[in-house]
Amino acid sequence: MLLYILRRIRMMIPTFFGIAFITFILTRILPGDPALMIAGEQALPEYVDKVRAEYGLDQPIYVQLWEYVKQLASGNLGFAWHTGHPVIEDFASRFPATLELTLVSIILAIIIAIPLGILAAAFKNSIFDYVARALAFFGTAMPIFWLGLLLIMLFYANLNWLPAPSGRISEDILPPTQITGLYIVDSLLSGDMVALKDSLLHLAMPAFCLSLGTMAIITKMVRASMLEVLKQDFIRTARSKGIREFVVICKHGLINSFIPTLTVIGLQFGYLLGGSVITESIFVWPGIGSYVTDSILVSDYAPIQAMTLISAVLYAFINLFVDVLYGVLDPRVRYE
Amino acid sequence: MTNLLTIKQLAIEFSSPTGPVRVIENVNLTLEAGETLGIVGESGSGKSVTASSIMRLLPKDLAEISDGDIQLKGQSIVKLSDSEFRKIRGSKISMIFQEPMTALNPVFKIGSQISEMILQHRKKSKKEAKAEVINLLREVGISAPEQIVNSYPHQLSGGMRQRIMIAMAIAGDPEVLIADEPTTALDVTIQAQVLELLKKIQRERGMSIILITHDFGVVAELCDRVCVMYAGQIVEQGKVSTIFNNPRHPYTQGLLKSIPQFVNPSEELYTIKGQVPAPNQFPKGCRFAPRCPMKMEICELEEPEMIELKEGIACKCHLYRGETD
Repeated sequence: MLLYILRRIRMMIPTFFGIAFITFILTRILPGDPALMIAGEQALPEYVDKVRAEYGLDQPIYVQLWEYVKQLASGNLGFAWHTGHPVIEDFASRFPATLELTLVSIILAIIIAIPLGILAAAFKNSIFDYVARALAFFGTAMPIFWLGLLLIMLFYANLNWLPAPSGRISEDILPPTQITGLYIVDSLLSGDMVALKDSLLHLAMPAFCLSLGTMAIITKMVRASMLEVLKQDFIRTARSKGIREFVVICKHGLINSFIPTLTVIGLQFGYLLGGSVITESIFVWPGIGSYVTDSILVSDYAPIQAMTLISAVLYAFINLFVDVLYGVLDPRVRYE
Repeated sequence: MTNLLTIKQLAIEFSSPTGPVRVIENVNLTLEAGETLGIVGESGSGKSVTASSIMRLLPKDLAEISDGDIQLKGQSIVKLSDSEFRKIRGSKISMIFQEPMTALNPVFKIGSQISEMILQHRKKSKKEAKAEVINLLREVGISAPEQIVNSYPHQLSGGMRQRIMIAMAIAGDPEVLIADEPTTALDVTIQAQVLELLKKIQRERGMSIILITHDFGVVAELCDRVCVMYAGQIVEQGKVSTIFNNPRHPYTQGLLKSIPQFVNPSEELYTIKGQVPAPNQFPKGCRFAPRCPMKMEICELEEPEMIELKEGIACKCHLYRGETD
């Protein structure tokens, strides 16, 4: 098992270098001149050239690439000039926001989608099934930017139930003492109920917005694989034992149908952890997604490259974790 | 002997896009305590559907008992609510299936799958159930039960899995065991062992067995009485020895003739021409008439009655009209 994990990690390394190479090339292709951005629109051409030389941007592209690889190999992710911090520091301060949003939306998706998927399969063509199918359709078809705007219009502008889309916590409320960086957890740990309530209210819209697509996919997946599993012989055996239908479905059915579902949850989680560019931008969420957006807008190469790489690493590790979980859930899967 | 299980005038309908189709009609059966009853027929004759209907294992949205009654010790079990019926499933009547490869849940250990049955029906602690599982595995002839309880189905052979299915089926100490083609998916040598095991268990526990098979050899091996089914109806029933020596119904005669004999191996194997008709295409008169070598004019016009013949045989055939006992 351990050997298998180590082998998988070894296989990831060339992938990461490939990703680093591709993002490096892609950022150079982006329109916009970083030297001009750093120096400012009004700067004299001589000054712009000076900045260009200072940042090594006047070097041939292969030299720049070589410098980048050397830097990466020494564990340095570079410096984000537009924030004035090393990228790793920016990442550390912004990642908790993305992590919190992702966790809440994934949990929300799971607690709604799994029961709904099970009900839809157990009572095929019932009201549950129709709701599940409608949600699956709506969730995959609805563009996030549009849904986000509608939510803001309804819950903030019209009903005023939820706070303005202005980040993780209201300006007049002090964020909880930093422990994990997740406001919900931190405010619970420090017993700060005011901050807890406010951060939950701030989370509601972006988390729902982000979870809807995932919810749709998981519901579909659970429904489909459950329908498949319920046709199996061992379900008939379980029924013939005289155990309750609830146990038949939730014990004998669910574990077997959970394996394909797990893949989807893992992939979605990895995907969302990379920062949702659209959701974070709409709700001014100070996470990785909005950081990358800002970096692209000002042609700040280092953070774009670094965040892409970090997302890839997270994604790869979550995938590995899911593969390992297969082995735990299904005794037929064994890794050497 | 007392009647343990009685099936009266059973009819089962399956829903189809063109309306309900009657797949089982007018099935009458009795199972006496301690007896082994065989139900024989080709694929599509309705034997498995009949058996599954006793256990209420037919898909609810598809199949429905449209007529008749099933009684356990004189009490109707057709109209019981699902939760009342669950108390019968596994503890009074239990069932083993054709495919031991897929009938066990792949993600749970053997021990927990068997003890689930014990915990459901008998007032036992988990520890007692565990000990009981070991005893049951020993009873079905598994040599290292302490190891087997901790293994998963995919680690075991087909024969072992069928033994485990049997252990599971008797774990609730049922009075009736329904075995639906229990040996069909197994090697011939293993088949013999499993049949031997069923015989032994029945003797020791005094259970009644309903054995569903397409193989008359298996019936001869194990059963006291046999019902021959064709196209959703019983066409002949009676004592195994009597029917073997003197089959009355042309269908039974055909089935018996198509068992391979070793007397004259160069002879071509006898087959009954044609196939069992689909339930929506059952002929009007005798359902076997289109394939019957002894067909008469009346056969295609009028459905024969079940006629009680000598030696406790009942036969649904026009050949024996007026020959009642």
